[in-house]
Amino acid sequence: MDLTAFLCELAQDPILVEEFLDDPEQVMDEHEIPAYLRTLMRSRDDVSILGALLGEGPASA
Amino acid sequence: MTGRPGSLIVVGTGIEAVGHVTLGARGALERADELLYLVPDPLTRAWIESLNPVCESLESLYRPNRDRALIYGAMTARILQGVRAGKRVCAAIYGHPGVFVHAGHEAIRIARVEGHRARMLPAISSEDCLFADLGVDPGLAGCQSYEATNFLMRRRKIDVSVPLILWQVGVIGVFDHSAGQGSKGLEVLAEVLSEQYGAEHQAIVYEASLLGICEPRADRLAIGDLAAVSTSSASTLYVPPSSPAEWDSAVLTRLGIDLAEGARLEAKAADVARSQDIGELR
Repeated sequence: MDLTAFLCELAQDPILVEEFLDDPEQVMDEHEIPAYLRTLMRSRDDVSILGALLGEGPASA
Repeated sequence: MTGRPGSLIVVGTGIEAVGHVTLGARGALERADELLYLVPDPLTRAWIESLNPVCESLESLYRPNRDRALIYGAMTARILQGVRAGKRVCAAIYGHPGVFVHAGHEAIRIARVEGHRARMLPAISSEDCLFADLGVDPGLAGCQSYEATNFLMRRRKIDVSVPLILWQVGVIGVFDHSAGQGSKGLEVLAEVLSEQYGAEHQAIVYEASLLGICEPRADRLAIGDLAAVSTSSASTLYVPPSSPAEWDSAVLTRLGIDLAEGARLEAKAADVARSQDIGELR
C-alpha cells in the first residue's frame, strides 16, 4: 500500500490510529508498508510524513 | 450558462488531514460541478482530487508579499465565476471556512445578493482542536478569543478569570504572506500580557496535529519568556485564568440562590479554575 492510501485510511479510522499507536509494526505489516516508509511513520512527525507525499500520485477515497 | 441559477456551498476540511471532513462536506465535494480548494497539506489535496475530477486549487492566487486583501478579493472573484455561470460550486478551505477566511464569507454574501443559493457548512477550527487537546471547556468559565495582532492593536480588555486564546501569535503585525516578524511581535505581546498576569504566569504555545497518529504541540512557558519561543502562523497561545471570578451577591439574591448554594457554586468555580489551570493540562 502506498503512503497516501495508508494515511487516508488512518484519517478515516480512529480505531486504526489506536492500533497503530499500540503496535505500529503490526499495522504496517498488515498494510504492507514498504521498509523505506516505516522509519518515517515511526517518527510520528506530521510535517515530515506529509512532506513525503509530495512525490506521490492521487489518493484513493 | 445552464439556465438554472448557480449555487455555492463553502465547506471546511478541518485541521487534521482528511479526517476532519464531515459527511456533509464530503457530499458537497463529490457532487459539485466545480470544486475549488485551498488546503495546505498534500494528503487532503490528493484526497480531494480523487473525489471530484472537476477541481482546481486556489493556491496559485497566493504571491509572496502580496497583500492579503488582494488575495482574498481574487479568491472571491474566482469562486463566484462558476456560480454566475450557473454551476453548483463548492469551495473547500482548510480549517473552518468561516474562521479567518474572508473570501468564504464574502463569496456567500455576494452570491446571495446576486440571487444565488449560498451556504456555509461549519467545520473544525484550530480552536476546536485546542479545546479537545488541552482539555479546555469554554462552557465552564467562558473564553476570550482574539487574533493576536488585533488584540494588541486594539488594546483589548482582558478578564484574567477567563481563559484567553490568541490566534496567530507567530505572525504578529504581518499583513501579507511573507515570513513572520520573529520575536518582535512576541516581545510586545509578552509585555502586554505580563502587565495583566505577571511575567511568571504559565501559558501554552499550541499547534494542532495534522495527522491523527501525531501529537499536537503544547509547549508550556512563562509569559515573560514568550519572545524566545519558536512560532509559526499555525501557533496559538493559550493563557489559563490567573484567578477565579467573583460572585455577584446581588444577582445571587435576585435569582433566589441561597448562601449554601452560593458556597457550592464557589467551590465549583474553584474546581473550574483549577481544572483550567496549567498544571492539569496535558
